[in-house]
This record gives sequence, C-alpha cells and structure tokens, in this order.
Amino acid sequence: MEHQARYNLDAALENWRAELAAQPNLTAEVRRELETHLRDTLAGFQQRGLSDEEAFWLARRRVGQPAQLGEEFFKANPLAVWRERLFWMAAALLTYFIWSNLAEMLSILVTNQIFNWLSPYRQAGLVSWLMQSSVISVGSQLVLRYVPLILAAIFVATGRIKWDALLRSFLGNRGLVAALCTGLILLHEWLMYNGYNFGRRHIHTTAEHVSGPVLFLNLAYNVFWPLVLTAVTVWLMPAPNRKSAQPT
Amino acid sequence: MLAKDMVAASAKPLLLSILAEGESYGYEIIQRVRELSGGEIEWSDGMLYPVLHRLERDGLIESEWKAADTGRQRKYYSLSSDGRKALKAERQQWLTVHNTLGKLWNIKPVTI
Repeated sequence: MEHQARYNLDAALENWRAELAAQPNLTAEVRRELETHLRDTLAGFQQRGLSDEEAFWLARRRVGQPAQLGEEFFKANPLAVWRERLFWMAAALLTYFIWSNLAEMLSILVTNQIFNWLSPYRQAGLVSWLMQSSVISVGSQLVLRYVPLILAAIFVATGRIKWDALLRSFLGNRGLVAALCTGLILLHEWLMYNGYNFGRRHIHTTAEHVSGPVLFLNLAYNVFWPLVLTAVTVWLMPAPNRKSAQPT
Repeated sequence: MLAKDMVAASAKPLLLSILAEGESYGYEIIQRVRELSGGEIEWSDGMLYPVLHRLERDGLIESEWKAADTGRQRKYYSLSSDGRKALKAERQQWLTVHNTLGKLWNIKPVTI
C-alpha cells in the first residue's frame, strides 16, 4: 500500500507523453489519439483491481514502444509528418504576415499620437531631432511588431500559455480560420488602399497615388499572396472534426 | 493464436465489418475483436491506428473527435459509403476463400 501511495501516475503519464513527443514520425493528432487509448486501457486495468503502477505498466506495454509506433506510422503514411510540418510553416508565415500588417497600422497610430504630444515642444533641440528623424516611427514599429511575438514565445516556451488547448480549439474550425484571416487581410488592404487617415498622416499607398503596375504589385503582395497562403494553411490544417457518415 | 500474416490480412475486413455495426473508437474496436475471436486474434494496440489511418486516407472510413460520456475526447471512426462498397467486395472474396477451402475440407459452403 505504501508503494502504491508513492507511485505518481501523473508523472508516469507525463514521461510517456514526452517519449511519444520525441518521435518525429508521430503527429500531434496521432499522439493525442494514442494517449486516449492508453488512458482507456489504463482505466480498464484499474477497474479490474490492478494498482496504478501495474495498470500503467501493462497499458504502456499494450500500446507499444514509442519508437516502434513511430516506425509503424511512418511506414503507413510517410507524408503525414511532412504535411503537419508544412502546415506549421505556412501557419507561421501567415501569422507573421497578418501580425506585421496589424502592427504596422498600430505603430502609425502610436507614432501620430507621440507626434501630437511632442508638437508643442518642437522648438526644443532633442524633440526637434526626434520628430525629424525616424527614431519614433521605427522604434514604435520594432516594439509593437517584435515585443509581443517575443513575449508570446517566452510564455509558450515556459508553459504559462496553454497554447496546445488554445490552438486546438481555434484550429478545430477551418471556416473560422479562413474567415478570420481573409477578413484581416482584406481589412488591412482596404485601409491602405483608401489611405485611411489615422490621425494626421496618411498611410503610404493611397488610391490617388497608386495605379497600373504598382497597384498590381501592391495587390499581389498584400492580397493575392496572403490569400493563397491562407488557402494553403486551411487546406493543410489537421481536421479533427470531420463530419462522420452515419452508420446504417 | 492466429498467425501474424492472417492477422494482417484480416485486419481490413474486420475493421470495416466492426464499423458497419456502428461508429467506434480504437480501444473499443480492439475489445470487440478480442471478444469476437475469443482471444484468438490478438492485435497490438498501437498497430491498429496506422491501419485505421490508412483506411481513412483511402476514403473507406471517416473520423470525428467527440466527447465520450466520461467527458474525455475520443476519435470515433465510422464507415463511409465507399467503405460499405469495399466491405461488400471483401466479404465476397473472403467467402470465396472460405468456400473453396470448405470444399476441400468438406465443410458446408456459405452463401453470400
């Protein structure tokens, strides 16, 4: 009994999960499915009166060695892992693109606001230099574009954000991802194309100044390319909630 | 205990037949095979999933993550319309083998 009390089932499961995650041929969805299976098997043995340690040992043995599982899944579908990797690459590119555009608009807002605050003191040497140089606009772009990304990366790496569950619920819905990304891309372009006035300064590409090949390139870079990237990302998305056919 | 080759060859018709009874998930499928075969067909638990995924890729079965009664999420598999056709073809082939052997061993043939 004392030994049973000492056995840490959560830690054992965590170790097993880590072993599985170390297999490059097992996708996140496969790992999730295998874990569900392990837990079902474990519960079955516990119901038969086995101790946590015995039940875990047997369940682990039944499911199989992580390395062997990795090999079997690779043999069954060698492209699955690459599909998942491509998905994360496309998703990262798309996220960076959309985030950069949003951060750019936000930085223009912030820069304009700082300029408004500083205008009464424009005669002072330092303020004059700040307003004439690009320090404020470049600084605000750097801070708004990269600091949130670095903070998010730190929080994810240290486990402060449960990104797995968050992403799973978000990525479970292809329509939502497609609509959100398309909406943000089109909104950004609409604001840019119409020279939306954030305070005092117009954004660089106004309808009056852009035409012909420049307009085409602008649309290709800001709309066509990210929309293609959105389509590729959505297509590569794992589909955890595909609609089942009703069994007869 | 069934030979390894036979276990591998019968995996597809067994899975399609079990899913023809209704949707199911990995653990339940293994329990069902064990129960039906009286423990004679022993599938390695982790090896079931590559087969299920291959059948899904071939469009014979479909899957959906759903919450079970316990609240735990499970991936449920079900037969697709192509799977139903494939099961019919599998059934025909296995019965042909069964009847051929049956004639040699003087066992009553099974009609389709």
